[in-house]
Parts: sequence; structure tokens; C-alpha cells
Amino acid sequence: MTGVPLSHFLVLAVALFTIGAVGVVTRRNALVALMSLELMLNGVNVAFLAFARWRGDALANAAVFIVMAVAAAEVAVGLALVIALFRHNRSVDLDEATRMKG
Amino acid sequence: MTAELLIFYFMAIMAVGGAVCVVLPPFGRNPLHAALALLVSFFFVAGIFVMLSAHLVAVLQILVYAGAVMVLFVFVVMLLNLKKDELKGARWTPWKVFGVGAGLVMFTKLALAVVVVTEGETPVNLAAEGFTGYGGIHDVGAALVTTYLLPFELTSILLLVAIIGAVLVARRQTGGAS
Amino acid sequence: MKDLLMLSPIWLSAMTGILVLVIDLLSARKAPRGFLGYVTAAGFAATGIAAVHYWNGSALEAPFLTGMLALDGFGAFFALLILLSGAAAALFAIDYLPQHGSDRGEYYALMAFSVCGALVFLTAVDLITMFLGLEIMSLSVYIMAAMKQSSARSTEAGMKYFILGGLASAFLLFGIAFLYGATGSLNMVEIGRYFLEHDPTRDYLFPQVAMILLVAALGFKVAAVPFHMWTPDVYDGAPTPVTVFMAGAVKAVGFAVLARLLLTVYQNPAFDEMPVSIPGLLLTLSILTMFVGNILGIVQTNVKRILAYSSITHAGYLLLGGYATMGVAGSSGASVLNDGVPFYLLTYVVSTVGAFGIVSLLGSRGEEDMSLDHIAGLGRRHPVLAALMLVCVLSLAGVPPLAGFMGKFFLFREVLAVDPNGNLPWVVIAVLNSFIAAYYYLRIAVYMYFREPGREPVSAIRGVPGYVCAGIAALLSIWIGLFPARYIAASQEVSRDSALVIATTGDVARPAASRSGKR
Repeated sequence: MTGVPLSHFLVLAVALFTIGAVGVVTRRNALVALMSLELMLNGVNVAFLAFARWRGDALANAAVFIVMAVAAAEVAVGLALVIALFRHNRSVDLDEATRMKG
Repeated sequence: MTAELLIFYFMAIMAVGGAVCVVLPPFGRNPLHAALALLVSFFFVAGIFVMLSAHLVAVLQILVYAGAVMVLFVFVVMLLNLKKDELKGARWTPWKVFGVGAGLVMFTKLALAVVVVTEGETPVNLAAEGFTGYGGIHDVGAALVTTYLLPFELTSILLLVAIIGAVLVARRQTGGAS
Repeated sequence: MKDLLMLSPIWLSAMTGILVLVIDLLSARKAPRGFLGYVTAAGFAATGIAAVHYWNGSALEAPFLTGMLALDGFGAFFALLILLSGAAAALFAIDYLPQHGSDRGEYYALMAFSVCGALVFLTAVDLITMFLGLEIMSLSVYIMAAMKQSSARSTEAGMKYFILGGLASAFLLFGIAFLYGATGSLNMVEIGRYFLEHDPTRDYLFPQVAMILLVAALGFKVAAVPFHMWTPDVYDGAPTPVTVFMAGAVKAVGFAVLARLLLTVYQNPAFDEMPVSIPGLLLTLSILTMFVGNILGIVQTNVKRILAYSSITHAGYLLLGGYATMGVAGSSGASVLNDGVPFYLLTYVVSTVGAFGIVSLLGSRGEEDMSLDHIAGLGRRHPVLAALMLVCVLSLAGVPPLAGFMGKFFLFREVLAVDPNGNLPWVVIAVLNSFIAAYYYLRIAVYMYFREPGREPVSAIRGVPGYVCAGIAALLSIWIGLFPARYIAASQEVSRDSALVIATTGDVARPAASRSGKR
């Protein structure tokens, strides 16, 4: 499978990462911010695997495996926090969560 | 343009399109829609992984992300039962304009960097150079229990922390032991 | 067997967590959980002894761990800082948590796991292991920050920290991906070797991008401006013993990793030619951090927020030390961390742990708002606590002869020693900033001693472990200030280890004389 140049995969990775980053920074909904975090990690995984494929390196595959475990753990904790936040505020809005001023 | 390139473009556009739908207000306003858009993105990223010969990771992507993580998201959205009026309309605040602008600048810079640096690099020919098992369960598994034994073990602590934490934070208040 | 012994600090801390969980499970449902704090502190003490005993020698040489961790004196020094903050956070919590209605055994287990993660993060040479350590540490801290369930502010602090911390982790990981793309390795030493053996300015873009992403991610962890936005809210909203851990251990380990990562990976002097060079970036961050931290600190009226901005400002001074790296005579010419930084971190951690710890002892029965009015008249109502607080705060301000003064003095002297003329303006700025900062530290002191108690004077928790801890912190703040020689010597030794030694096969690849290829 060499029909697609490496740069294409990497631009895709950068696109996913940036969209995720913009989502985390701009979206007020905690759930969507959490999803955006997952998008960023997906972008990183694409980059890792693209680089790995170009070198035939199995180690990076294992690294991505571990990153996935981390992402799953992050989601579990994040969703628990969302539930706790909702219990207090009856909303998952991050801006409403700023009764503490900056 | 080869068929492979066409497939790549299709998958990449679907993956990015799903990602944009997660973040962009029209779809993202309803978390359930955002979750479904995320599912689309995850699914096509798994396709990209297959194109990169990372077969095990592609399968895991479907199982872990599209399966477990997505169910968790949908479950929480349902549990919280957010009503439409709680999802107030998105406004373009200066902060958001700045965020999107910074995102565009970051994307351009990074994309230019990767295009410039990786120009003309060719991948190893897996079949010809003896990487027959690349990306398969044997190769990745071997790496996990040899070189990556320590991080692999540490993952168990991470998961333990996540379990304890999720239960501790999400559990209804019982007033503590005091 | 040797491997297991070398690894013992890491598994000892994890075992402490598991032991605490088991005891928690076996204890009566309604029984107070405070005794688990002693178990945790004892576990940390054992961990510390193991770290000093096994790591204070040469690096680990074992087949299955080769290149995963660097267990050396550098690790031992910062491991002690982490363990001190962790033990203090556990002991302060013994009386704090019941008062605030969240007396849960899980807190102590999470503290132990967090320390375990921090130790992995600190010693990792493999970048994925490093990321994993960071995540173990951070996830535990997010949860602990949110665990005061009756308080919306605590939950919000946890959520905010989680979202922004996740962003920082993703940046770190993307930086790692770029380093991997440039060199084909995930190992710090291998990456550094690759850059030494290949002219890095040929395709400098990937190392450049990676450097910015890594500095941003770790800058978040150490609360450097402009990645500081979360700090006051999270420090203020989180249960105060958790703040002790965040301001002490998380910041110390963040600096240690920042130093080791940048100095090891970017060892080739040719990297100074990058458009955004490491010293330039760190200097900019340093000056921004000092000024922003101080100016925002002056207008605060809440003690916890004042201390949060103080901790931001201290990150600024430390970054100045990170900027002024030193060359080591007789080695391959690799530059190492300025030897003022580890000592400064020691003094900062001791004093800040004491200050936040004492705040955790003030305000019982779920009182959260700790404004300056609340501590007015503390000197008369709780003379012991006020005296201890005074020592810690004055040490943070850098009043001689306390530890904080010695830390600042030694750091600024060493920064000047690197380049007496070039660095003079920056040191002058830093000294100026420590005078500005004195304003809000002295304000705390003035409120404690020269203001009449307000309408609602603050009550204090009466608990032995907290008082003992605060006493030790204050005593250390005095002791280190009076007899700094030993600690300075240790700091000098530690800083020599900061850059991992890379054995290269040939000469260091330097950029070609004609830089025509450079974009």
C-alpha cells in the first residue's frame, strides 16, 4: 500500500488534532469538549501509525495500543466528572461553571 | 489517480467531516448528534489504520472507541437527559473567533511543516523486506510483552485509578463516612 | 532481582495505594478513615528510603528495562520532593477531609497512585512510558480535586483541570509523535543520539514543532503564563490538601521532566539555530510568567488565590534558571540544568507545602472562602498557626535568612555566573519582581497580625498531624535558609545528571558552514 504519500496521512492527523483542539478551547459543553479530546488523541494515533508504517516499526503500534488505553481511562473519568458537574449545576455548561472568576 | 488514493480521500473526508460535525454548533449542539458524528469519525479513522497496515490497532479502534467509549458517551447523554432549552444557542464570542483563528493558523503551520519535511519519503516495502506480520497481533503483542512490558503493566494502575475515580466521583453523595 | 529492587520505589508507592484500598475495604463502614493517612505517609517514607538507597548510584542496567527508565541521583532528588509533598498532602488530609464531609479512604489510595505516576513520569526515558506516568499522576489529581462532593466549586475545579489537562496531554503526545517522526525512536536517549549524529538543521521543522508542543504541554503542568489560566480556579476550588500536592509535587516533577527532556533530546548545540530557540522561548515565558503572576497576584483578596499566583510567579523564576543552562567542563559539551534550579525547587516546595497546608487547617465545617478578612487577627486567635504561616510566607517572599531567600540568592547568582553581562537585565527584572511579590506576601502577614478580627473570624482545625507537618515545613524553611551548604551541594550534583549522557559513535554533527539548505 504505497499509493498514498506520507504527507497525506499526516495532514489528516494534523486536521483531526486541530479540530479537536479548537473544539476543546471553544465549546462550552463539557461533553463535546470531552469528545474533542478524543479527536485530538485520534489525530495523534494517525500520525504515530503513519510514521510507523513508513519505517515498518512494530513498537509504535504498541505505543498506540497504550495511548488507546489511556484515552479510554480518560473518557471514564471525564464522564464521571460530567455527571458530578451535572448533579451540581443541572447543566453541563463549562461557562456556567465559572462562579469562580478568573 | 489510483483507486487507493480515491479510497484514502473518501475515508479522510468522512473522518474530518465527522470531526467537524462534532465541534461545529449545528450538529454539536445536541450531544447525541455530536456522539454519532464522533462515531463516524472513529469508524473512518479505523479505515485509515487499515490502509496503514495497522490491523490490530484498527480492530481495537472499532472495539474500544466505536464500541466501549461510544456506548459510554451515549449512555451518559441519555442519563443526563439534556433538554433542548438547556442547550442554549451558540454565540460567536471574541474568544471563539480567537480560538478558531488560532486553530487555522496552527493547522496551516503544522500541515506545511509535514508536507515540506516528508516530501518524497517512501515507505518500506513490507512484503519484500520481511515485515510479514507487521501490525498483526503477533508483532504488536510481542512488542507489548518485551520492550513495552513496563508501560503495559503500568496501564493496569492507570485503569485501576480510572475505575476508582469514576466510582468515587460519579457515585451519589452518601455523606461520607464521618 | 536487581531490577525489582531498583524499581522498588515505583512498586512500593503503587503497593501503598493497593494496601490502603484493601484496608479501606476491610474497615467498618462508618469508621473514620484518617488512620489511612498514616499508612500512606509510612508507605511514602519507605518509598523515599528505597529511592535514595537504590537510585542514588548509577543508572539501571537490565535487559528488559533497558532504556525505559533512568534511575539515578536526579530521580532520587526529585522523588524526595514528590514524596514530601505527597506525605504532607496525606497528613494534612487526615483532619481536613472529615471536616469537609468527604472522609473517603480512596483519597489516600489515589494519592499513592498519583505519586507512583509522578515517579514514572520523572524517571521515564521512553516517551510513551513518560506519557503514561503523566496520565496516572494527572488522572488521580483530577479526581482528588473533584472529590469534595458537597462542593460545586470542587467539582468544577476537577472538570476544568481535566479538560485543560487533557488538552496539555494531547499536546505532549503530538510532540512525541513529531519526535518519533523525525528520528524513528520513542526513546529520549536514542532521539538525542540521532540528532547528534545527523545534522538537525537539515530538517529542523519537526524538532522545532515538537519542542513548541512539549514546552506548551509541560508549561501547563508547571503553570507558566500563558498556560496558567486554570491555576487560580483549580488551586482555589480543589480540597486544600490536594492543592498542596499540585503546587508542590506536580510543579516539581513538571520542571524536572522539562529539564531532562529538553536537555537530553536537544543536546546538539546546532539547535540554538532554530527560529524559535529553546533559551529564547523559556526566557520569554519566564518574564511573562513573573510579571503576569505578580500583577494578578496583587489584586487578589483570597488567600488561596494569592498563593496560587505566587506559585505562578515562582514558576517564572524557575524558568529563568531553565533558560540559563550551564556547560559542564570535561564532558561532551552537553549543557546541563542551572544548578540553582533544584535547590530553588526544594526551598519553594518546602515553603509552599507549609503555606497551603496551614490554609487547609483554617476554616472548619466546610467553610471554603478563605479571604484576607477571614484571616484577620489570626495572630491573636491562633498564634502558633499564624507564626508558622508567617515563616512560610516570608520564605516564599524571599526574606533573609529564610530558605526562600537562599534559593533566590543562589539561583540568581548562578544565572549571572553563566553570562554576567548578558543575563544581568533578566536578573534585575527577577529581583524587581520579587520586590513586587513581597507586597502581597506582606499583606497576608499584616492581615494576620495588625488587623482586628472581622465579623466572622476563621476557626481552625485542631489536629496533631497537620500541626506537626506545618511545623516541620516551617522549621525546614528556617533550617535550609541557615545551613544551605549541604542542599546546595546536592543540587549541584543533581544538575550534573540532568542531561542523560549519550554515547555517540562519531563526531557531533554540526550544521554545514554554508546554510544554503536552511529555510
